[in-house]
Amino acid sequence: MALKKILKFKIINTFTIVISFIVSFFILDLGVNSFLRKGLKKYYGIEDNSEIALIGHSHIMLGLDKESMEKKLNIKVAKYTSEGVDILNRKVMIDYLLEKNDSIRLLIYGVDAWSFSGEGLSANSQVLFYPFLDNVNIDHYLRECVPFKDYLTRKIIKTTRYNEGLISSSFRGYLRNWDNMKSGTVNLKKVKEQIAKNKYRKINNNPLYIETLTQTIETLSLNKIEIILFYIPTLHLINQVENKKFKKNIDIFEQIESDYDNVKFINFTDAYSHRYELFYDPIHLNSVGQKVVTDSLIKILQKNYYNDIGI
Amino acid sequence: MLFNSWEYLFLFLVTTILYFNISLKYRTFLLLISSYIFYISWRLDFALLMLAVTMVNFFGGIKINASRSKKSKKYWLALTIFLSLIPLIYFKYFNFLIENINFIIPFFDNNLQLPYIEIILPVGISFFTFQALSYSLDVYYGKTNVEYNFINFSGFVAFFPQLVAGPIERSSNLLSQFRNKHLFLKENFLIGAKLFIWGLFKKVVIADRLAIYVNNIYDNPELFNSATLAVATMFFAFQIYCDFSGYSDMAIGSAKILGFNLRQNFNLPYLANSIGDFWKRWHISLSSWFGDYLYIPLGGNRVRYYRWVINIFLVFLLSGFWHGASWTFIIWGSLHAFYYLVESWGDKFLNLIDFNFIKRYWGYKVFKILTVFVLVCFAWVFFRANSITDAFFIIDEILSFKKGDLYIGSSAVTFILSIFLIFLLLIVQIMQYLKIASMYFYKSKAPASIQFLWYLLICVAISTLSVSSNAFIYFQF
Repeated sequence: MALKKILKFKIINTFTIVISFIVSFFILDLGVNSFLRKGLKKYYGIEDNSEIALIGHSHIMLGLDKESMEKKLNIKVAKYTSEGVDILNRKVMIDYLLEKNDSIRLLIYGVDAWSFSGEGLSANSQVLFYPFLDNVNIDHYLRECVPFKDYLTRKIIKTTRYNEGLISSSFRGYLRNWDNMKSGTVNLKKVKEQIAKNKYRKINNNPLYIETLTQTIETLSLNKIEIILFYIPTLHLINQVENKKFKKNIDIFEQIESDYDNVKFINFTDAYSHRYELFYDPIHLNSVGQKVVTDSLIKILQKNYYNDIGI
Repeated sequence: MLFNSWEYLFLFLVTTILYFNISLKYRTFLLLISSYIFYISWRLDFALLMLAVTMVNFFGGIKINASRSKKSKKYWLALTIFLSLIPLIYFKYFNFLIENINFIIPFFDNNLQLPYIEIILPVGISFFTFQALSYSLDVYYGKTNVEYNFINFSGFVAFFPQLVAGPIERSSNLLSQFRNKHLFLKENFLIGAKLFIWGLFKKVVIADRLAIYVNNIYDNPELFNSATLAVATMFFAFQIYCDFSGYSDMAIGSAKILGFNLRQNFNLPYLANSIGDFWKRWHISLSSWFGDYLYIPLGGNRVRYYRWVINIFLVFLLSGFWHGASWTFIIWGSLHAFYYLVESWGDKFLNLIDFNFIKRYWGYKVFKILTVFVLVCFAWVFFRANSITDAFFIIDEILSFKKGDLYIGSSAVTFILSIFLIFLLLIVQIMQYLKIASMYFYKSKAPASIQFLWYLLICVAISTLSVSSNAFIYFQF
């Protein structure tokens, strides 16, 4: 009997420790999630009533300097960019941004020759939306496109919604740091070797992506938002690997430009793709490249958008 | 079913609750059912294979025990070993054999090429085969009593916490525990849970993160410079340690909650000050398996010098071959044998010149720890490289000290975080070495509140920083 009493007491004691541990864990989980999500929103500029929004993946992320644009144009710029987000993801990003911010008047949308190629970008870029799982639309989107077990885990334990990229972005949001920290220059020899070994991303157009881009433009047009399809330059060596397909996709963007009054296609490829010193790798600009390209874009914006959005 | 999955958590919770609430006579049967559910989650037919190995050793043990003459015992032991090894050889080494035959055939002016067979290696086959064999060998050497209860024996071979990646248990330790009544104890629960959490952290936060960088470099070594290849090799040293020791910790922790004591499998191996010491700290259950069932039966060190050298090479070579059917693993094992012998010669030389006093200085100890780490890393190149050609290329590149920028991977944050985590691991290991932090079943000196906070932070780190997509590396061994 005595042994049973002791065991019972010990089990209750253990139970108390476990429960307090679990409760503490969920409180901490809630706090960390709240902190990280706030930082992310600051980094992306989701709730800061910006008038210009930059949307895209790493090309735009490393290619455009938001702070420089804000300073020189004297206007707020939201830079909602994430690595590997494809056209389908970007539609969700834009919908979310428009829901949170009704003052956007110009949206700069990153495009490239590989924009309509689903494969080779990221296998699971939708995970970048996990931090905003509490939003109804994003919840709906994720429930459909991620395995239920993953969805449920993120729903219950909020800190599982982050990865180090998102955590880093969150901290950069608090620190107000949007710098391009890529300082090296592309290794041309290595690029040539990779091309020779057939290790490059292929251009394969998926009709769904083209259709989704059109839908995105329609939505933005309904909201009376000006759109720039902006081609951040990619290295000449990579552009010419599938030259015909490359030109065909440039034609698609030019066609979209002519189809819509509020769409302009700006292509910096011819101007900068041969200037190797501006590239960190074949598809991303280094900090010098970012400055050059941003300054050029600012000049175009000052020249062409003064009347439309008051720059 | 991985340890870091909801399925495992569910299976473990249900098993634990039922285990402590049912009659003693059904408990082992419950564990057996859970173990087979755990294993069948990979593939049903592999479970039948495990059952076959179990039956061979169960009846083999009875026959060995019942044999009166030594010759008859030997016969039954040889038959048991032979039958147990057939699946392992077929699934793990058959294509390696074909590959080597195909390499040799052209030297005899023959164009014949034998076809490869498509095989999927059953998860944990090397582990459960060696565990079952240890029982038959122990019965033969009279180290353990024969087991007549098939449920108990099957539970011993298939015990789910350590089934697929060890520690490789001995019947003298684990089998007897199936006969005992285990009570749910607070101490066991807390020790087990702490071990599990720390193991999970090492696996999903450190090992899986380092794997991203290592895989990137080792899959295309020709694209990277000396510094990058050296860093990738060092990362791999920590990746494989965290991966394997993390898994062992989770296995030992799970078993501890159920009241079972599994053997310690790792004991701060990178703080070893000699190669011999390293093998007493790394994958202890396998090292001691080869020691007890191969090295000692071969005569150990009580033989002529040249035989001892052969024994050492044989043990390390087979240990390498156990890890994988490739020449890279054989070279890895041979390299360790070579280190071991050179070290023994070095010790003899210090004795000869009466220079032993140097061993007392801490600087010498630190020098030895670093030297052992570098040598172990050098051998890891062969272990991780995709081919011998790649391994030699990587070593050649590293030793050429060619200048160039260090590749930091696709994300600077990941790289910096990886280095931070390695430092964190080292600090914890030093604290464990000094017995300030807990390790295995030893208690921590830290106050309960600090421990509570530490494990809380570890849990948040697991949920925030885990990289859950990679499978356990050691599953394929």
